[in-house]
Amino acid sequence: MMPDVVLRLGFTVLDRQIVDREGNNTGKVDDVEFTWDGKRAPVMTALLTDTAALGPRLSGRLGRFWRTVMQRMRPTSDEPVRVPVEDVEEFSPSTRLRTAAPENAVIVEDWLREHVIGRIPGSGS
Amino acid sequence: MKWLKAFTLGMLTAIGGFLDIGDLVSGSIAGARFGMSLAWVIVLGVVGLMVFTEMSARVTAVSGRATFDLVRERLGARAGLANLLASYLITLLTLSAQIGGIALTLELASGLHHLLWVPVAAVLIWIVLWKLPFERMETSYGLLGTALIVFAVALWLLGPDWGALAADAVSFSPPPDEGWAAWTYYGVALFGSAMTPYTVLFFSSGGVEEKWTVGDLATARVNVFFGLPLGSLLSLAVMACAAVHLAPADVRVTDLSQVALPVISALGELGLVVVLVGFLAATFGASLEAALAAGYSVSQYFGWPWGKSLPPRRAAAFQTVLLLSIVAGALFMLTGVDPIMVTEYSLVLSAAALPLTYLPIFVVANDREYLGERTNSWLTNLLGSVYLVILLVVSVAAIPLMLFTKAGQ
Repeated sequence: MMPDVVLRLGFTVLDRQIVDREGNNTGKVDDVEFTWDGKRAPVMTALLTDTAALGPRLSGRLGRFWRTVMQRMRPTSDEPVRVPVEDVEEFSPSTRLRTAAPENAVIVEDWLREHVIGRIPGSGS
Repeated sequence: MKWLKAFTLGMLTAIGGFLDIGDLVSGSIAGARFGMSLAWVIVLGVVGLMVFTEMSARVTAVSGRATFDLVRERLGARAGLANLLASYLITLLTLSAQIGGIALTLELASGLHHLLWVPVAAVLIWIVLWKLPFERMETSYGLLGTALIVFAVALWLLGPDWGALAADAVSFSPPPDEGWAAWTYYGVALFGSAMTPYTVLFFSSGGVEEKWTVGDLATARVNVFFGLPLGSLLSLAVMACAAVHLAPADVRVTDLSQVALPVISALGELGLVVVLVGFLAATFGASLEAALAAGYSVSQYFGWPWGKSLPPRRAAAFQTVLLLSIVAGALFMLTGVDPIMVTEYSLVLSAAALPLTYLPIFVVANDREYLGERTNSWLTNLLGSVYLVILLVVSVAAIPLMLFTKAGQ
């Protein structure tokens, strides 16, 4: 559990770099998820990452354009990757996870590794 | 001894790596048309570059993160994305100009048309980025770039009237046969070339690649405060060579061979060989830096793993951006656009976009969360604020000036 301090989401959570247990970059905090049981105050339950989560946060024409492109490019699922808030070790200066990176956290990275970069000789292991 | 070696190496790298196609072209054009009357812009630009590069080095050394990694955290998703798009396009244009510069240099060396050399240049850039370790890459082109000291030697041998050059440099007005608008326009281009944004993007991410810590800050500062001014002396030498040798003959610089002309006439064939080595090192080095800067900025916005020191497989998206940027730059040059013109436009557009790079650096360098006790001193903040005002004025004036003067005609 987080200690009892004021956490300003816009300042300390959103748009921060997410780093997994091994110290690898696994995307930015593109959005957050709130759960509300209808009675008590809403609680932040997860961080959303993956560029698809970014679309709705960009208003105007740029945001619409982003959403359209993302829908075209991601045929598999349009649900962004969730990181449960319990997995977060600390939020700032970067969001450190106590777990390995969630699956498909950076879907572009995996696809490009498999289909482009990994096929070029000398790409390492 | 080891310290001394690192020091000399870093310094030579900073000097040799200072010049790129933008500095060569804009310095020479300005010298041939306006004599030394725009020399002060180079000085102004380099002091600004020192102030902001030091901030950037400090942020990287203390927080272990590249300055542009922090842009999105500070600006938010939307403004960050707008900044990224603008910076990326300008870096791409700069990369294209450098590829054009490599091709022009190889044309001078071989006599084969430069368009034939564009694909060769692109492939070479990619291979070096794919294979060569970071530090070896940086020092090789930096050391070879010191060949451009030949401009200073040539200037000496041309035996100019030093007093007249100095008087020209403090005249702060265009020569009688030139108008204020064109003079100001080239002033903006020179300022853009001295403060080119990709250099800072590259510098701070490079610091992360080399795993700088607070202990490396002293070396970085020495390079910034001595290497950059010494490098800018070469810029001034290029300008002075043009002022002494090209201006009296009323030569309008439209090609890289004219930039080299003063050196060739002072030093003959040997001068030509040395100057070509220098051109090649400068443009090739700048291509590597610009391509990396493009890859760094995109990857850092999206939070992907990035870096030349990672095996390519582990930074696949980053490597793809590098590859696509190089291909895009080469294709653009293959359309047959004039490399010198692309260079000029890249400088003026860089000038217009300067605040996008330097304002975030200034904001982050004042942030205690990242820097603790090492935030900007009052002096740095004073200087930085003055420069931000200058950057803003230059940025607002750049595009209208370009339209009004029909790109300096």
